[in-house]
Amino acid sequence: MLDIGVQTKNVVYDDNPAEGFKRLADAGFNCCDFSLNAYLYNKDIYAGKLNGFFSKSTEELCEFFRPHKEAAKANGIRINQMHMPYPIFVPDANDGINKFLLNQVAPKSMEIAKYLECPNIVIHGFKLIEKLGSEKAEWSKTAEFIDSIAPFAAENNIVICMENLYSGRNGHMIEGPGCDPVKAAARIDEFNRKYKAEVLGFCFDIGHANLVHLDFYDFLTTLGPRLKVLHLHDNDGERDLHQLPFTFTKTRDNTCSTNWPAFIKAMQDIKFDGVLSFETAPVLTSFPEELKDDALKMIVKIGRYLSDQIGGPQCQLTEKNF
Amino acid sequence: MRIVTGFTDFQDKISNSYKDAKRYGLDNILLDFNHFKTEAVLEGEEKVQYIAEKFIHQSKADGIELIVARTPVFGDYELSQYAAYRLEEVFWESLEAANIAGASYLLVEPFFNDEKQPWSEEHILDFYSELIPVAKNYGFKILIRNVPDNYNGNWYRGLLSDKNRFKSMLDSLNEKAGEKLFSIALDMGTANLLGNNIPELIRDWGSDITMILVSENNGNADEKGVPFTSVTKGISTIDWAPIIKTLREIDFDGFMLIDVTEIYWRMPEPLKKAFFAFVLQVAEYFKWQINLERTIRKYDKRVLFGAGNMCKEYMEHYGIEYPPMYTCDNNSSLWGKQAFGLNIKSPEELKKLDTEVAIFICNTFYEEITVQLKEMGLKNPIERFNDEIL
Repeated sequence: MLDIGVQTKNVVYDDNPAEGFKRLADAGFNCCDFSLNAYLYNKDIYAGKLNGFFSKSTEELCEFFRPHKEAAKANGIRINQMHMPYPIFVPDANDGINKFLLNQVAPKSMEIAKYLECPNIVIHGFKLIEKLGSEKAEWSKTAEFIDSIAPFAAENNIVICMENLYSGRNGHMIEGPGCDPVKAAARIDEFNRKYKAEVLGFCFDIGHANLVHLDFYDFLTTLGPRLKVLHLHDNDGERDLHQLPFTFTKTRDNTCSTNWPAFIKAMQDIKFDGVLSFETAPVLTSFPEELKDDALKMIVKIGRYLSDQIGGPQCQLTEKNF
Repeated sequence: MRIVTGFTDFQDKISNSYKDAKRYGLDNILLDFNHFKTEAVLEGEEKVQYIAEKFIHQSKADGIELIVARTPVFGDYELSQYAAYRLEEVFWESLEAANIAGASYLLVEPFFNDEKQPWSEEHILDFYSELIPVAKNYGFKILIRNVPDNYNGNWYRGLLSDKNRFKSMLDSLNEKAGEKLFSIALDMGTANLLGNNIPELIRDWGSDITMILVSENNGNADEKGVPFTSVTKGISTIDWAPIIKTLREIDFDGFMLIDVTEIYWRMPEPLKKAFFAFVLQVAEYFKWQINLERTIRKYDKRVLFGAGNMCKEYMEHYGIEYPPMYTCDNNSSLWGKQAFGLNIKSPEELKKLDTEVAIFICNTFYEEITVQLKEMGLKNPIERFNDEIL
C-alpha cells in the first residue's frame, strides 16, 4: 500500500496544529503536504503585499513551526513534501519585492524544509515567456533560481521539485512552465549531474495536466524515476478546481472525464513508490464543516483505491484509455 | 507562402462560391473530398472521382490549382449507415482522384473517426505506413494534421497531437519512407483547444510544418472561427501576434488554409460574398505579416517612404541587416534633415531611382501613398512595411 497524504491547508491551523494533525491521522492519512505557501499567498505577492512572516529569522521560523513538527510526529504523519510560496519572481514588480522573495522567502523555505525533515519542496518555475519571448529564455531564469537553492538542497538531501503549470488567457488555460516532459527530464538530469546529487525532481500535478490536456501516460513514463511527488486532484478541464478525483463528467454516459486509468497505468509502469498526495484543500471549503472529516476520509479511500490499482495486477486497459 | 481556401467546390452546377473565388483571383483551392461524399458514392453506385470530375476539370480550365487535396473522414453517422469496406474504398478512390486533379499534397487523417472505437496507435502507424508506396507512386507529399484523442468527452494530447510524440512518429515514418514524405499540417484551433503554447509548438516543429490551418475558438469548443473574432472583455482567446512572429522567425513558406468552411456555409446567402472577401483579407493579412522579413530580404536595394514612428521601427529591427538608401516624406519641412540615421528627401527623388529599388511604405496611409507613387509614374516595386508585430 502506498502512503497517502494531503495538503495541511484548511485542516492544520497554527493555533492548534495538534488538532489538525490528529484529524488527518484519524481520517487515515500517514503523510502530509505542508502548505508553506499559505504563509504568503500568491495573490498577496502579486499585489505587492508582503506580510512580515518571512522577515522572521530562520531560528524564529523554526521555533514557530516546532509545534507543527511535534504534532505531526506525535500523530504519525510524515511531512513528505511542502510547497514553497509562489511566485518567487514577479515581473514588473519593484526590485525590493523580488529581492525579498529570492533572498528571504526562498532560502528560509529551504531551512524550514530542513527543520521539518521534509525531503521534497515544490517550486513554481518563473512565468516569463511573454516577457522574454521563448520558453528557453524563461527556463534560463528558473534555472538561475534553482542554482541559488540547489547547494543547500544537495547538502541537506532535499529534492527541489518543479511542477507542471498553466497560464490563463481569457479564461482559457494554456501550458505553462514544466509541460514538456522531455525537456523537464533533460533539465533534471543536467542539474543532478552538475551537483552530483539528486537536487532536482518533478512534481506532477494531474489537475494542471488535465487543464492543458497533457498525455498523462506519456508524460509520467518519460519522467520515470525523476517523478518525486504528486498533486492529485480533479477538475472539469476548464478551471483549476482542486476537487475530488472522479468527480467530473462531460457526456451523457456520465463516465469520468479525467483519464485516471492512464495515470494508474503510468504509475504501475514506472513502479512509483512515493506518496499519493492530494492537493484538495478546496474540497474542505466546498463541503460543509460538518462533513469535513467525511471528506477527508473519502480522500483517503480514493487514495487507497488508487494504491490498490497501482499495486494490483498490470492494468488491462484498452487503447481507449490513452 | 500560398493561401489555400477551403470553402468552394461544386458537383454539377458551378457554385457562387467558385465564381467568387475566381473573381477574387484565387489560384489555389483545397480539393476537399469530404464535400464529395454523396449518397451514391457511399452506397458504391458512383466513384468519388466522377462526382468531383466537373469541379476538377473546371478548375484546370480556369487555371486554378488544386495542389492540396484533403482525403475523406467518416464519422459515427456514416459508419452506422454505410458499409465500412465501401467507406475505405472511397478513401483510396480519393487518392486516385487527387492524382488526376494534379494534387501534390494530401492532407490525410485516419479515415474512421469513431469516438467509441478510436483507432489504436498501432493502427494509425500502419495506416500511414501503408500510404508510403501509394504516395511515392503518385508523387504526393502527405500532410498529417494534429488531432486530439478523446477520453469520455475530454480532449487529450496523444500520438497525433503531443508535441514530442507526433514528431517522433513523423521522423519514424520518414525514415521508413527513406525521404521527407510526411510533414505537419498544424491546426491552430486544435492546438488552442489542447492548451498548447502555439509559438513554442511552431518553434519546436519548425521546418516539419508544411501547412498551417488557421482558425479561432474560445478554447473549449472546436468552433473554427475567423482569427481575431473570439474576444471576451476585450481580450482575444488566441494571441496571434507571437504566433505570426514565430512563423516569421522560422521563415515559414508553406500553405495557409483558413478553415472556416462551416461558418461560410451557415452565412445567409446575401452575406456570403462579403464574408468570403473578409476571410480573404484576413488571410492576406497573415501572409503579409508572416512574409514581412522575407519581403524586405527579396530586394538588394530599398528606400523607405515615411519619416515617422514606423520608419524608426524599421530601422530598429531591420536597419542593420537591410539598410535603406534613404527615406522620403510628404512633409517638406523634413527634407534635408535626418531621422533615425537616414536622410529625409522629397518624394520627387524617387524618380531618380533604378526601377529594381523597392519602395517600402512606412505609414498607415498605404492606399493613398501607393496611389501617389503610381501617379508619379514610378515602376519600382511598392511594398508595405508594418510595425504592429515586431
